[in-house]
Amino acid sequence: MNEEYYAYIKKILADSFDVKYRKIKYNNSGEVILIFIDNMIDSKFISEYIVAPFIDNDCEKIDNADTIKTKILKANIVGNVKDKKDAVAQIISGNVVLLFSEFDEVIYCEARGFVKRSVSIPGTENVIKGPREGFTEAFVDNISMIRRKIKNPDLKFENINVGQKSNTVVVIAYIKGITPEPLLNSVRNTILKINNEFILDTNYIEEQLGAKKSMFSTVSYTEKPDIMASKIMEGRVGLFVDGSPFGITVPSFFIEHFQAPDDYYMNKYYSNITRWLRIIAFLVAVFLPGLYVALITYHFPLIPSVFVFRLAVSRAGVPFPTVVEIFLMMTFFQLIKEAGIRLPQPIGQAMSIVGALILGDAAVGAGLASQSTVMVIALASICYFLIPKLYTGSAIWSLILLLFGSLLGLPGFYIGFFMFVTHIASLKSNGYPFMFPIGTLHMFKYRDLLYRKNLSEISNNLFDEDDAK
Amino acid sequence: MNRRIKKLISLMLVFIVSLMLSSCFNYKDINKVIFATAIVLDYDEDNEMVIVYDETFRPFRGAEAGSEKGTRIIFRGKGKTFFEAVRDISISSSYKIHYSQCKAIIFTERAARAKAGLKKFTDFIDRDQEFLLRPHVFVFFGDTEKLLKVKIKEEEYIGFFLDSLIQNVGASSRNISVTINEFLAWRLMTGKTYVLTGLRIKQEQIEDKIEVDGCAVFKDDKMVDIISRREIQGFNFLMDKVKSGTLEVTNPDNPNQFVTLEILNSDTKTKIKYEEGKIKLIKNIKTKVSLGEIQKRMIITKENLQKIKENAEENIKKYSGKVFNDYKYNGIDIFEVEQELYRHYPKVKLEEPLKDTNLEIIVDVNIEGSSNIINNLQ
Repeated sequence: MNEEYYAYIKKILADSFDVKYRKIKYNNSGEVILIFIDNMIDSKFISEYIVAPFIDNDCEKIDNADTIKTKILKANIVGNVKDKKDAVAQIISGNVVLLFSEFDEVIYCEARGFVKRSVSIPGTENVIKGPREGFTEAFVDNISMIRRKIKNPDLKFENINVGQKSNTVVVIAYIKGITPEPLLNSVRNTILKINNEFILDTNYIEEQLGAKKSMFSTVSYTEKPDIMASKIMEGRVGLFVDGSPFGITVPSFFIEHFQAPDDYYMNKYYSNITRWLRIIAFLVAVFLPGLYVALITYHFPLIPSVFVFRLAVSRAGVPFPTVVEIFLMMTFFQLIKEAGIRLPQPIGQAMSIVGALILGDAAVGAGLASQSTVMVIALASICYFLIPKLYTGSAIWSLILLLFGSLLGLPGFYIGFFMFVTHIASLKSNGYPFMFPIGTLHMFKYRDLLYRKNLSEISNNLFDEDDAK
Repeated sequence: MNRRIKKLISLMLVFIVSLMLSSCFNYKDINKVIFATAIVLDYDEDNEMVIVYDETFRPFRGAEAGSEKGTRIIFRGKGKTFFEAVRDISISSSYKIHYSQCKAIIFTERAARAKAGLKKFTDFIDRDQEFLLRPHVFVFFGDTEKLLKVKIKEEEYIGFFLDSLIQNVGASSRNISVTINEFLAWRLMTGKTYVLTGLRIKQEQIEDKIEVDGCAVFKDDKMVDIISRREIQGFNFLMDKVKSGTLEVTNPDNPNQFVTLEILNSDTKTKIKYEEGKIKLIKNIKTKVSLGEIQKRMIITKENLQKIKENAEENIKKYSGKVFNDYKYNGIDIFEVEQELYRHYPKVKLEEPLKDTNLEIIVDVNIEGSSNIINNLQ
């Protein structure tokens, strides 16, 4: 018995009730101890393919690890444990470690079998037409979904363990020969430099890869294998984190946030109309509140007279200044939105009714807001939902523009607008200009911008080796 | 220089430039403002103090829910200057009166005929940034208080009514429309003669109505004459102000009846020639019309159409010539002869150029088919 290993594992994994030690005698004199964590392994698999072969063996002489690996164990993946630490790592990863009494070699068998969610329809990226499978929390399943879509020997999956204490597996996916090497190296180096104690989701990686001081994410995320596959085929780098049903891709461009999954599965013309609708929705969501407050508090001459009088009448009973009224309504909306997300689904419906009433008639009736303000905030809020991936950035920037518009009227709004444009134009996504094709003279082969062309024209590799600056 | 300081300086520059690009403005909640829709400008009986009447819109809410509405309020202010009169109004109004939504500036006949004329009003209209260039300018012939008390069923506010009225009839051949922009420009041009739309309370109607009626002629900001409704068409043809309207000519087949021609568009080109102390003003009028109405009956033949054309051309010549000669006789240069002469012959200085001017009118009336843009009548 490798007493030293046994004692070490016992000590390290002490106080854990789910760590199991199973002793088996074989060939009358031999003894093996199987160490594994209950619920991380497939119990049936261990009984049939690891335990049974030892107990049933009465002809083969077991005196070394090679015999066990080649003739006894019926498990698929078997290997030698390098040292004591590796033994512990194997156990906590869901493998079985075998310690023998008759020789010092320690081996492990893969017998993973934990509870996991099956492949289902992704919740955040619904499509009318197109593939409906979504990633799961098990990265191996996600990888297999990508493999099924890209049957190419150059498709590579590198794994890096990140997180000093969590040892989370992060997988880098790319196609050798298509993905630019500098991009790949930069991503790999960034991940290797991550020194968090634990990694629970892709966002831990996104924060390192994306722009640091921005409300906009310069990293794309998706829950759909088809989207991930298409991005990888375009030459981007895909990343999976064990435990997260989202995959992330870099580099990412601002214009990409207006693309929906079914843009490529539906009629080209219809897709373009909806894409433009999303662009308009973004403009409305970000700029409308600021523009509205600037116009109705500073620049009456720019509003048609009939509308000025309507606005004046609708605000007649509101005791607060327009800015406060708008902030109030935006806060109401945020409250309703947050409540809607956090509440269980059955209560959610009741919540929406209350929300609709507050945002609608009650606020106006109570004299807290005017109909026109409710209309503007409601419109801006609906528009946010058309561009979910830009939600965080848009929500904060619309507040900034609102503040500028309320302080200085249209000149203030313009200042806010300049700041907004300069900010997103200054962002880089792993060395690539985020705002492409605006704000840069750099040209890529990327043609899927404002107008979705024929799929034969846009389904290509995007980058050259020296594109990143 | 430090990057952060550079950024700060850039941001400050953007701020400063943006502020320089804008005019004066201030935060004002839209419901805390009284909007003037029309201004009536008058003098007191001694023609010394300026009297300003503001027709205004005030947003109002009662104690009950859903009781928001707009109220029409008339303010009257008096002062030595226009601005003082406006401030005089402010001391009796709950909110500041805002003039950006003012649709009409109406001068009373008394103000127009006063010794100072419109001079006391123009600077404030020009200088104050709340007065936009869009509103129309009128001269009202009649009792000012009656005007402000008129109940127009079509529109609650006189300002809005006049705005719609001008949009509707503004381009017709028997009316003129003048915006503040045109008014302020014309009054400073060579000759300093201009016309403003006339207003009157319509007498023959069962209900009170305001109508545009002729126009007032100004020389040095003082009203000197009125062009009647009949004469306006001739004036408009000469001044290239006809965009639509009608022409009535005798029916060739029934001489006691009329044919109405609808003016589709009209274009007047002006040329001026100066030779040996004499000015020749050439007006080349090209009008496109269609048959709008035929009284009794008329057989549409080439001959009849030719007759109508000749009649129409003759009428335009006759009425335009008459207006010109009338004003030439009175020495009032509403035809911008002095301005035209200065433009083409800047070195020529004449005391009264209109008196030495001979008018030559060349008219070409083109009758289009009424049912088709292709000329199917010929």
